[in-house]
Amino acid sequence: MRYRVIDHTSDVGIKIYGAGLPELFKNSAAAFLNILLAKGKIETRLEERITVSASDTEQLLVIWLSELLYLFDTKKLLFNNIEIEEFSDTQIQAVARGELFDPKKHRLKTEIKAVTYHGLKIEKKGSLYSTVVIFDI
Amino acid sequence: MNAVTIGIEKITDFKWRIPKHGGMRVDGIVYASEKLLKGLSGDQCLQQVANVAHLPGIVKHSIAMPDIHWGYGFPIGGVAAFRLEDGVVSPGGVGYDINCGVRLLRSNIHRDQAREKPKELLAALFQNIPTGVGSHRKDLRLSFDQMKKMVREGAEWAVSQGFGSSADIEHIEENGQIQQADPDQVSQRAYERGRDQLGTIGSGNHFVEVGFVDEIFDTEAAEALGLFKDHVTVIVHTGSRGFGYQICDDYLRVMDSVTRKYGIELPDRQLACAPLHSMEGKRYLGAMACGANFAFNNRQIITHWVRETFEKVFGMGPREHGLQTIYDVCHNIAKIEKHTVDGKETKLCVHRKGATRAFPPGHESLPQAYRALGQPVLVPGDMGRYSYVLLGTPRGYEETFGTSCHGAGRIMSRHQAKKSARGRSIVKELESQGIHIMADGYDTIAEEMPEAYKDVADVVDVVHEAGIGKKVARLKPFCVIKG
Repeated sequence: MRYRVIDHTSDVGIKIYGAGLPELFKNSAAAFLNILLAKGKIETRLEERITVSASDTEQLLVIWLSELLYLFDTKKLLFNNIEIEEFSDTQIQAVARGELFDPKKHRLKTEIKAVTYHGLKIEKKGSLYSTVVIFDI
Repeated sequence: MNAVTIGIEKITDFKWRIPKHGGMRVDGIVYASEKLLKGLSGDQCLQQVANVAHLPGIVKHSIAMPDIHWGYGFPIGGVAAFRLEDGVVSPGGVGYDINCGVRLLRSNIHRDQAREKPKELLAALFQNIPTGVGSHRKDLRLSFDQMKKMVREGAEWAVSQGFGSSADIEHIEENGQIQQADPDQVSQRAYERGRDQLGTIGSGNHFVEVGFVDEIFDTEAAEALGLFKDHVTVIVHTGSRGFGYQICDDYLRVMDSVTRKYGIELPDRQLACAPLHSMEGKRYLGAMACGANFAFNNRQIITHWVRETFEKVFGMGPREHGLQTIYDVCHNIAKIEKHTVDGKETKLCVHRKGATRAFPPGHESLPQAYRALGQPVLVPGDMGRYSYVLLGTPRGYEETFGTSCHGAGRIMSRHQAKKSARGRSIVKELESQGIHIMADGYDTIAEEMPEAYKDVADVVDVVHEAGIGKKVARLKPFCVIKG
């Protein structure tokens, strides 16, 4: 399982998994898209290089998802494919592929205000990484 | 953690104390009924009230309104005031949606007139007012320089652009402008996120609701506010959109990294803050004020479009429809205000997150017309039941820094609400009760269904019985547009 949506009274959360941190980050992008989009397929029409850095991996995850939110809010970009080019505990460089939001074929589900730190703790069990991320909506 | 675990004691039927313990600097005071308190067990919000009491410079008590529920760091429905010399300011004590708030309009229109064309009114509102994720009107697009001007000037900017009139301005909290706004303290990212979102409702629990006056509790006060039984009212509920969310996000990050620098120990990382006298504290207040002013402009613009919609649908001019602003209040804000502490008038930074300012009669910041009355307080309920209009009281001013509740609060998660709505048509159920809803997506209606919320009457009753607010009127919904 890459991720699942978790119940929360006033906001929405995701539990994400990954066999390795890069996969955790990839799956977080897929979960993010799932929260945002109610209907419509995302085709690969454009790509955007994303580079973000942070002081630790948990902050990196928040900044990474916040970047995806910023790109959607300002440029209407929706990504269905992430290719991680470089990854370290404090930096990620990726190529994100997808297309622009098109009201004719896409329907949005949730307005995400922000990515929060609440309950965010990257844990490792064997080779599987996981964490919760709560979005303020 | 429930009420018993945290050690809450009854003061009166509507007022409870969390006695100072551990690192708390002051007691916690919770306004609630037994019924509401029972509903809180497991919510952790009472622990959050206790956590806020740890913050340096906090004055009197860490306070909770009866609509309290869990939030990030500070609970929603939380009030905390800090001395300027040694107190702190915290973006979590304001919320992501800076100046999420409510405006109430009164009118001369009788509900029977409006009931002649509910679907037409609904469709016209939905067309004229951008609602939902990613929607905006193309006729409103600002350059970054115009945005900076707009967030410095507050709602006067909107009026200067032809949205509404100056008669609206004095009926807005702070006259629609928080003066310490400093547009240079706002990031480029916030301007980018907010640019397409001025004049939009957004999604979630934001809405424009046409209703009518259902019951009047104080005839004299209602009349002074222009509220008459069965007359149409309009509530606009929205905030600072992506502009405010980004400001909060930016400064949470700043505060998180400086809390240690200032030697502040926090029981919860999400209480990240900085001293009011620090550079970071001042910058946040300057940026927050910009966020607040964006929201004041937002509600002013939407008010104008509401009026235009009524004019078109009912063929009425302004004098005939009489859609006037009763008042416009903030729910998420930090304000520098004068209050009496230990017999002395002191300037404090009052954080209200999911709580409404409710100043008493005689307060200098009220418009002349309300000076004898007190400040109107608007408390929206869910879309199926009712909303309330209250007034601030002297007792509220003394006990809660002049603060009241702000709404109902959710009891069901969105997932639970959607599950409960399966196989049902919430739209039809509400229509059978005479309430017409239009939303950007079906999901929103299911998620926002009445049962997903507490009964706001329970919340308002506590405020009224505790004497920190006074009921004036109850409004019922009729046509609602949601994002």
